[in-house]
Amino acid sequence: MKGLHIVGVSHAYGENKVLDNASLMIPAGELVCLLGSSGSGKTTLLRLAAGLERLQLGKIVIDDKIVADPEVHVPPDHRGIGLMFQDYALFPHLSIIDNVTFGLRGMAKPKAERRAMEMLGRVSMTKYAQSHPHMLSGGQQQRVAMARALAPEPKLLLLDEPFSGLDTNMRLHIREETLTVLKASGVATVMVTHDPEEAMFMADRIKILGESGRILQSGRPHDIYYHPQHGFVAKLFGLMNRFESVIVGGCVEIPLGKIRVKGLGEGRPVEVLVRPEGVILDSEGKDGPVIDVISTHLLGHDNIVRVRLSDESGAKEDEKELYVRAHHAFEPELSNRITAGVDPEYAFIFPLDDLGGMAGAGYTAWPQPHAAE
Amino acid sequence: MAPTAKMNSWSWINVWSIGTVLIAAWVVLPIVAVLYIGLTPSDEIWTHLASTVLPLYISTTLQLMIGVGIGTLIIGVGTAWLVSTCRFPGRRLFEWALLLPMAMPAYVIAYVYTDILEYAGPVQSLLRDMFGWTTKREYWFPEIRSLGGAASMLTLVLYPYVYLLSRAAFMEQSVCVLEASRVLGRGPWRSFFSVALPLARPAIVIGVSLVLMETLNDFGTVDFFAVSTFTLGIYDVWLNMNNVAGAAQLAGLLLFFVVFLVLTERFARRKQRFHHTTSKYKALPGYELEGRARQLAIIGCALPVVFGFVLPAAVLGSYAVIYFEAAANPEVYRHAGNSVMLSALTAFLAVAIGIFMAYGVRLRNERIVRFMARFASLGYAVPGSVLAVGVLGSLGALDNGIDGFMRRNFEISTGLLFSGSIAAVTFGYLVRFLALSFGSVEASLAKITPNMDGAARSLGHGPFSTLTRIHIPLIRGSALTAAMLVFVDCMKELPMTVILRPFNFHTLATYVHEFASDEQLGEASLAALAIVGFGILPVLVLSFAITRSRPGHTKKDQSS
Amino acid sequence: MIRLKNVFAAIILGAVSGMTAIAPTASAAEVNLYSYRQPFLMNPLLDAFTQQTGIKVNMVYLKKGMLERLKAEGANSPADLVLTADIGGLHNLVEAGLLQSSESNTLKHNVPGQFRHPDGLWYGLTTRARIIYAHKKRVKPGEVTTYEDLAKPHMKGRICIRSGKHVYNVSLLAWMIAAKGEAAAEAWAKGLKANLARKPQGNDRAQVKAVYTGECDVSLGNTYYMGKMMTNEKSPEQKDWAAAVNVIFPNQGDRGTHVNISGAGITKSAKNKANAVKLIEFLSNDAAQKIYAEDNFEYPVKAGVKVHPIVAGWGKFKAEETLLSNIAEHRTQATRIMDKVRFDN
Repeated sequence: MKGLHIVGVSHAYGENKVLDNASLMIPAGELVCLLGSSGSGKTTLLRLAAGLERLQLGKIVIDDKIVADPEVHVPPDHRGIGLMFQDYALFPHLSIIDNVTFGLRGMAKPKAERRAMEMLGRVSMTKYAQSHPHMLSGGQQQRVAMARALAPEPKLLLLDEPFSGLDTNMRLHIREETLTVLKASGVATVMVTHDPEEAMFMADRIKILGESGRILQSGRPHDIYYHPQHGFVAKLFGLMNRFESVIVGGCVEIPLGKIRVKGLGEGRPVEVLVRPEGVILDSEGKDGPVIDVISTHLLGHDNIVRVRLSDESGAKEDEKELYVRAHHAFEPELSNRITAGVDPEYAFIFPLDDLGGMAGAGYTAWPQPHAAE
Repeated sequence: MAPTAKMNSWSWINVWSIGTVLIAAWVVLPIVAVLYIGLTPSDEIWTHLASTVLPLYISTTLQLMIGVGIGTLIIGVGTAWLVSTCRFPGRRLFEWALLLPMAMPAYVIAYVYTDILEYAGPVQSLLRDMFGWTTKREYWFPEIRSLGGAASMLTLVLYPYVYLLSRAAFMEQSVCVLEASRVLGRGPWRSFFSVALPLARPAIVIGVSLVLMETLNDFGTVDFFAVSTFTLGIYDVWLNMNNVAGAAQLAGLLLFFVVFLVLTERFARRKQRFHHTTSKYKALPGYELEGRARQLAIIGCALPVVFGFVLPAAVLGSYAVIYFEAAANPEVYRHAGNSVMLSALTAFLAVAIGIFMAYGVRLRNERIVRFMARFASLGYAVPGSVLAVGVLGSLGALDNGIDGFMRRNFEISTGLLFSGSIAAVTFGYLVRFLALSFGSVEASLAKITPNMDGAARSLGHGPFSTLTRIHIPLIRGSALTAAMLVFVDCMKELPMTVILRPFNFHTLATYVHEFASDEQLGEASLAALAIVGFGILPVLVLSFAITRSRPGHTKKDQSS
Repeated sequence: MIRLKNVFAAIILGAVSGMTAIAPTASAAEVNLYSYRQPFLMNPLLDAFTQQTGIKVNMVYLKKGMLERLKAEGANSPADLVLTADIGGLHNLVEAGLLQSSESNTLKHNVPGQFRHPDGLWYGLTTRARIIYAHKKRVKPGEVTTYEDLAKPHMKGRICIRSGKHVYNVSLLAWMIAAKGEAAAEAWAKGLKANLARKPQGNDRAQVKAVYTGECDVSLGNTYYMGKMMTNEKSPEQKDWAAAVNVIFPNQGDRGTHVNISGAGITKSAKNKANAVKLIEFLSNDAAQKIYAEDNFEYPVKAGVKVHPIVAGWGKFKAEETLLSNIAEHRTQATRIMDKVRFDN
């Protein structure tokens, strides 16, 4: 099978175990994002795939060829893998064009330079060919790094936090550009990031890493956002309102209302996570518990509103403050009584106990429409 | 299952790590030989020493180290800070002139100052004439042949090490950090103490520790001034008590002390590892100095140059004129040729080996590789003659081993292949000065982010190609600095050359020594000047290279 | 990687092959010399030897480490001959088993019995006395006539001397131990130390200079320095120093003045033994002995060779020679006494 296949890899730096029996399949032709917090071993996975770290345990296969197991170590220069670093690692003593031709070993010089110029053209950097890296802005350096990594036409491109060094405006812009370039080149790409939004934006497929390189969930961005299989995964994508409850009569009750649950037995303690857009505010003040608005924060099209459930709602003290995503037209001053409800599509339920050995695997909660009555 | 459990314990083996360990083992051999000599049975010296002079040796040595350490620290760091961040007339001159005393051998400057400052010298004679004193008892004048005198002499010629390294560090500091500090409301002085100094600390520490090691194993100056240091004690036990094992034991103790110091410093610094946070550099801002500050800066930079170089060089020059006939021996040119050839060869080898070892450690940061590399740079802390005995022992054993083998198996006698050859001298120099090149190269490599290696490797370049195309160009400045340091030190090196050299072979240093040991430096003044002269050349190149090597300075010129 | 290996191998092989061939090997017309004595002293003598015999002399001048070098080189050592500047060096070489005996009628004839090893392991070539230099005016006649006088209270603050650890002073103290026992020698060293005008420093000449400039009144030094200073055209100021002092040969009334010898021995490893013997013979012959006397103001060992007129001007003196061979044995003791009385500090 074409692509990168990591099988049962464990890795430790001294006493510090960063990967434990991690496995991963990345098919050719896709842009896969490895999403994980720091310490999830995602960078180590990249370095192992590239051959910069020596494999301790497990197996790494690229295009059906074993490149690393405890006996075999194909050095990075023979793996045909492109790598782009967080800090771009441009060679400061070489001009931009020399940086790009650096990977074109064995190619005649004029040909290499033509190829390099072509790559620079793709990232709109031709006019900087004779400059040196320190004269470029961060975004420009990023583009050059991309051109340099793509120039030798690698089988696989690995990107380590490619946008983390850029400021926000620049990041959005460069992200789009990078995506365009990558799609145009058609190279299989693995990108490591800790930014869920970035992963959502870039990826054909997202793989979420938990501790020690364990894959918590893998899927298309839409699946991951709407069907998280794990509390951790759900919490990755933005703010969450969290409640604890118990399943009673196939339902779970939280201060915002009742949600029907499938597949979890009676009496099991659960964690209920509700996205801010899953909290529905009603300025008519008809159903549900009454809330007070603490503050509103404009985020472009939407507002993030911090609200507090009234004392009558019967909510626990640490579950009273909620985040709500509301349309920008929402104006709490115009209303004297606002109530809140829950949209089950944005509510995710996970068991808190570890009965049945299923804990951590993630339960699929199927929220029923109009579960809150 | 622990991943390490299945790790092959021999996985560190490859060309680089094996090479590093082998080279290190080769260089370590003489040090091991010295320690081994210390183990051979001999008269017990410790009770006698402990009850008589050992406390004195130790306290004198510590005082000397503290004196030279503080002296070089203040002069070296102070002048480095002035020339790299302030603007005042003559700054460009001082930038390189401050390095000049480095070319001056300590024993030569000690001799010159004794001539000037002793009771019979011109200074005291003038004072006596002016005030009508006739005997020594009528006035007080600092005694040059004293602990303070020795500390002053060593400070004058050794401060350039600290200057050189701290200046390079100051220049490498990203201006952003300094500006950040200024913006946060800290004045130039506070910025210096709270930001620049801590950032430059690793470099300063390397500089001062080089100085302290030079101080510890100095023999010429302390012997001439009869300052009872530990090293003098080693020689006393060795030569007067004819107890080489005892001397080796003392040398071992000295080595232990140095290792302890180094480890203490490393421990104190263990949390402070920083790569530079930004790759953006621009010329350091430069505080324009005015009025008093300007005068003080000029004087502060001028004094070390005048006393460390101009004055002694002038005195040597005047001797050379007076003794021209005796001094202008045509042989001096041949000696100069020997000196330059040996020093250049050693400088090249030391840097090549230093780069190989430092890169070996970088590629495979395994304990054994790291340990051997560190051990190999201990030669700098052993007094030259003692180390030479170690070299003699190890090369002699090797030569006689080969000879024995060849005789037994082929009935050929190879005799001594290395002992008493220029190769032996070069080897001795390498053992002694590898610390200089390895230290600078390693420190410089450490500043290159490992991602550079990763980038080059993933772009299809092997370790060697990566080294030559990425690392070596990037550390060029430091490698050059290292080469020059080794070169200058080899030019001045005396005790090992004397002991290891072949027949009828002189360097400038041995030639000068021959006369200086009889207090007839005048006749060798031209040779002494030649040591200084050949030493200056690389010092100038070095200074130029440092200014150019600063990122952000050269690249624009190249691209325009 | 292969390229790197080649580069390194080429450099190292090239350097090594270029450098090792230089060491001289045995040949009919050479003799190899390790010398404690400075080349500028020896060169006139060695040049004369080469001229007369056609034998080339190769020399390394080294003090510290010569013994260790000979030991390390072992049987393959290129050295044929060792020249030393004092009895201690010869003694250490004998103790280390590095010398071999040689039979030569010429040497037996030239070198008196007390100046050569009984088994012919070494031969003395010159002698020098360790004498007192006294300021002509500030030291009254009869004030200092013995080494013992130097330790007496009336000399307080009037003496200059080089380091107590210098081989000449260690030999003198060792000789005192041999003559009067350890306790007496220690008391003497203590007394001498108490009388010093300044911390021990410089060489023997520098002490005379200090007497001249008024830092002190007397100093200890070897005889030949006086001659060298009196005739120094290169540094004429040294003539003034010498002119300010009288030389006093101590202990003429009792056991005599301390003398030391310079000498030569043939190494066990000698490949050119015959040439080495020739060289020692040459150095003990009239012509060479005269050069030692004329150029270096030393006392020739060979009877009948005239000393330099300046040296002759000091008159004949009584030398204590019988204890010479004992000096070496007491050197460690002497060094320890120097430590004990903190002579240099």
